[in-house]
Order: sequence, then structure tokens, then C-alpha cells
Amino acid sequence: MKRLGYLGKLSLAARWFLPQEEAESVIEDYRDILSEVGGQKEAVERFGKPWRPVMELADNKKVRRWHMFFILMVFCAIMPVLFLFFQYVKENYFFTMERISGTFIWLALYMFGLDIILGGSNSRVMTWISIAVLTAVVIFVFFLGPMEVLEAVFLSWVKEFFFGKWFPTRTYAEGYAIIGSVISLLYFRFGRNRGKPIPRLLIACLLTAALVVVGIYGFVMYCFHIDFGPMLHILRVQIICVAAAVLFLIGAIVGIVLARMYDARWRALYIVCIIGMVLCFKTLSDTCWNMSPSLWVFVDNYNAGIGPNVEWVHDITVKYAWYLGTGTVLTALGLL
Amino acid sequence: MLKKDIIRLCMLHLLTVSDRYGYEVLSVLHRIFPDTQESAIYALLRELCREGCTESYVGEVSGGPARKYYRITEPGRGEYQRLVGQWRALKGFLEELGI
Repeated sequence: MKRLGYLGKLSLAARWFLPQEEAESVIEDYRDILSEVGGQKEAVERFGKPWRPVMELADNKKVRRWHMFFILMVFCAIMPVLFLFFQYVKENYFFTMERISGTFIWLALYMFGLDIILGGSNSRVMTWISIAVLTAVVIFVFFLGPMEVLEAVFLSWVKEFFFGKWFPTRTYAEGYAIIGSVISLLYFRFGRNRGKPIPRLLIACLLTAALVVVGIYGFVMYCFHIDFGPMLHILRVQIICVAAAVLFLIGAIVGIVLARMYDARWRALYIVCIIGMVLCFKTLSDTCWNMSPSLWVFVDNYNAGIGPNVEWVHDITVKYAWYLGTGTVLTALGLL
Repeated sequence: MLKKDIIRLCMLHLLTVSDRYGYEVLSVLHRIFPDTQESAIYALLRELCREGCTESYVGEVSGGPARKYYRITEPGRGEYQRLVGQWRALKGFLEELGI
């Protein structure tokens, strides 16, 4: 039992710090080796703490890169929820947070760029040129405003294309969700688990998360197309959305950890959860009349209090369809 | 010649004599280098495998569980000869110095 304890901890460390195939091979080797060793105490004396054998094998650059990706993915999952709290608890903080988070994401991307250059280039001249160019680009982007540039790069053309008009993004939740999804798709790559059946637990988690997403989507559509009454219970709607967003956040982090440690396809859970978070967030910020003064322009003021007008219904329907569609496509990609 | 190279040399030497399973290699080398943790020795064994100097296979043992054995490869024999040459040169220098 004690020996299993040592091997169990070693297995967790191996799956976290080593690439998947190597981790499995090391665990298999240590299973053989530890079967010859007397007990946990002897194992610690001979091999050190359970993480020690793994650290002897880990490539520091790869570990650093994985941690950088991990932080970025978690950051993209946490920001929408943080926005929720800052927006409703203390409105003044909201805009400041946007700036800080934008700066953070650029810094992380910058560090990641440096890591790739320094890790992959043997030419000193090329390394310094790349560092200088990258630094200049980042400084330039800081002056422009990181989130504005991200929006211009990732979202403005999308808005023009799908909605036929540009409109200011009240929150950047969807930006983080898309960046997080793309990072997770790039990091874990495709096809490494092709042929293996999808874990049942993953299917169950995906179905649960999808059910909540569809529930929120269905609720909003019901309110906007059939009966707006339930939406007027603002406090209840808010509580449900915040609770769902927090659960989605937990699901997203679990998804990344399991994608790293067991099967890359767990990233699909991460993606569906961050898209779910965006839906919760949007439901809170876009559909509550008195919470979103910017949307009053869509409401016929003479009929205010009765329900949303046609333009607003159209706007919400297209926007939610876009989130659901994007989420479905990215989740499907996550399962490849 | 670093201690790491000496351990690599000993490892390759053990494998030129016969194929061995992981625990066996670790035990023998730990007896010779008691201040080196076995996890570090195992890391060197995997490094040799990654470099193509050794390869592993699952061997059947009568009455016991199947184990992963390591054997030396052709590039491994070349590396072994290189390390033996270095070791002999070092030994010669040390003898010249009267150590």
C-alpha cells in the first residue's frame, strides 16, 4: 500500500512534468523497479521524494513552456469570472481590470515568444534581432492599448462579417474564450489519441456541461422569443448565471489538468466550459435592462417595461447563435 | 572526464557483458557510486536509451514477471569504445603524475 503511495505520487508528477508517452514509459519502469524495493521509506532513501526521479528526467524548457501555456489557459478561463465580480461588486474597477489583464496577456505571449526564440535558435545574431523586434512590437502595442489591438485583430472583422456592423465590446469575455480555445488546440495538438475510445467520464462531463450551456441558451431564447417575464426576475437570473460561471470555471481548469495528465481530448471540456462562461456573462451583462444601459438604445423607450423590441431580439439571437456555433465547432476540434 | 561519463561507461560495460533489467543496473551502479541517488542513475540509463546507445525489450523470466530489459546497440558499442579510450587516457595521465 505504501509502495503504491510512492508510485502514485511519482505517476502524478510524471504526467504533469513529462510528455505523455515518456511519462507512461517512466511510470512503467518505476513500477518494475519499486516492486523490488522494500517499502516507501526505502524508496525515498534510494530515489528521493517521488517528484525527484521525474525532475531528473524533465526538460526544463519544455516544463517552462507547459507552465506558460497552462497559466495562459487558466488566465483566459478566470478573467470572465473575475470580470463578473468586479463589474457587479465595484463598477469602477471594471475598466482598470481590462487594461491590466490585457497587459498581462501580452506579457505572457511575449515571454512565450522569447522562450521559443531562445529555445530554438542557435544563432546569436538572429536571437538578438528577434528579441529587439519582439520588444519593439510589444512596446508599440502597449501604447495602442493591448485589448484594443486584440479586439482589432481577432474580433472586429468577425463582428462586421456576422452582424453587419461594428459595435464596442462591453466585455472581452468572448475574446478570452477564443484565445483560450485556440491556445489549448495549439498546445495539445491533434490526433495523438486517434483510435483510442473517448473516455466515458469525458463524455459524461461534456454532456453535463453542454446541457447547462443549452439550458442557458434556451432560457434566453425563450425569454426573447416567447415570454420575457422570467428575465425580469433579475436577481434569480444573476445568481444562477454566477453559480453556473463558477462551476464552468472549475470545469475548465479540471479540463486542462486532465488534458495534460491523461488524454489531450479533455481540452474539449475546457473549451465548452469557457464558452459556457461567456454565455453566463453575456446573459448577465446584455439581457438585464437596468444592468446594461448601453442596450437602452435598442429599446423603444415608449414601450419600455413591456419587453424588448425587434432589433434587440434580432441582435441577441444572432449573438447567442454565434457563441453557440463557435463553441460547438471549437469543442468538436478539441475532440480530434 | 566527468563522473556522469564514468557512470555511463560503467552502464555500457555492464550491458556489453549481458542484457540487464533496470533495477539490476541501478543496484550494481549504486553499490559503486553510493553517493549518487539511484534516480539520477536511472535518468542516465534513459538518456542512453534516448540517444540510441541502448534499447529496451520486455523479457520473459521463468517463474517471474515479465521485465523490461536493456541491451546495448551498435552506436552504444561505439560510445563505449570512445569512453573506454577517454578513461584509459585519463588513467595514464594520473599514473604519470604518480597518483
